[in-house]
Amino acid sequence: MAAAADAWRREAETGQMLGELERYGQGASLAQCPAMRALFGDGRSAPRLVAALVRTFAAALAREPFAHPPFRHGYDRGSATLMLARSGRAQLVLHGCEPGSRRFDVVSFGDGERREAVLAGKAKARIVRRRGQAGPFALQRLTLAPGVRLAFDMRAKALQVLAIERRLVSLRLHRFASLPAPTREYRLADGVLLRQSAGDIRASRQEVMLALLGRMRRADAVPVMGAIAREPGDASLRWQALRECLALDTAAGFAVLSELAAARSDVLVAPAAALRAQLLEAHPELAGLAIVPCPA
Amino acid sequence: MDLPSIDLSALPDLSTLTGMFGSLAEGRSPGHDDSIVILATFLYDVQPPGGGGLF
Repeated sequence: MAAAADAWRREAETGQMLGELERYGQGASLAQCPAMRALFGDGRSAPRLVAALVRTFAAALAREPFAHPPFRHGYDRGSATLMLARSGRAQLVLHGCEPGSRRFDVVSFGDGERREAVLAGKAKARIVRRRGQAGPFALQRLTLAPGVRLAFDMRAKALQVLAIERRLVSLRLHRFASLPAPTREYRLADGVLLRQSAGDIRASRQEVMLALLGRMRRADAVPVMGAIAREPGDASLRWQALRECLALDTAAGFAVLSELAAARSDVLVAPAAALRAQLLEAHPELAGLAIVPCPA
Repeated sequence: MDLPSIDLSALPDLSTLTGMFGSLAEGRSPGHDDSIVILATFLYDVQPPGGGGLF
């Protein structure tokens, strides 16, 4: 299977696409990537690319029926994915979905852009579009069938597949924002924000590291925690860094907290000011600390 | 100066909590499922303890 994948990658068309995916993953526009643009623009390029892959894989599977594809792959309740390539912020994924119906009470919006080329199958779907920051959503129904090409900003639009008549196979191109905002899930009926999760895997990784360093009582991590809390970035990560910093080193943490509370424009100004007031009330002796410089 | 030590659990979170990356998998309802048990069972089946394997 690895040799089959290599053979597919060596094909001229695939090679060009992979080269362009690298540029696209670094931030180039799709207009600068003609092969990628064709994949998600015309009706022939995407089926040809996937047919070439399936041809080489089918021959390898005929010889080794239990072989696994050398791509990251997954299957979950009728939905299968095969990540054909990934570079920088971009991912090219082959997606298959078994027939069936789904009901949606919620809608999620990420921070990135998505293109989709439907290769096979038939399904009823809808685009859910945000109208401003809150409130109900605009719904636009569409039929997914071979030849359909979609492109949308994931911050404003989401695709929901409602009923699949025949197994739906599509090629998807994702590109996440360079500093992705959290993914947010809203109730469809009224647009109320229900939950959100980090849009950036690095932020979550750092958050777990901070928690671990905090539990280990690693005082040497205090300067790094202070720096993370002060620097621009994911608000949740910064707040957790501040909490861990305060718990590990009261003086250093309080200096960072005072700095944030006095900042001119920062999303953490209000919660930092509230926490500072709360701590000062509980521990009046902290008032004398405001001028202590942070070691970071 | 004798400074108070501050307990982490006494420090509030932001009013809107942010879950870990990927914790909003589409179609999943909040709560628990048996995915990890299914995965552990699969690993146990393909490589049981004592077989010179994972555990």
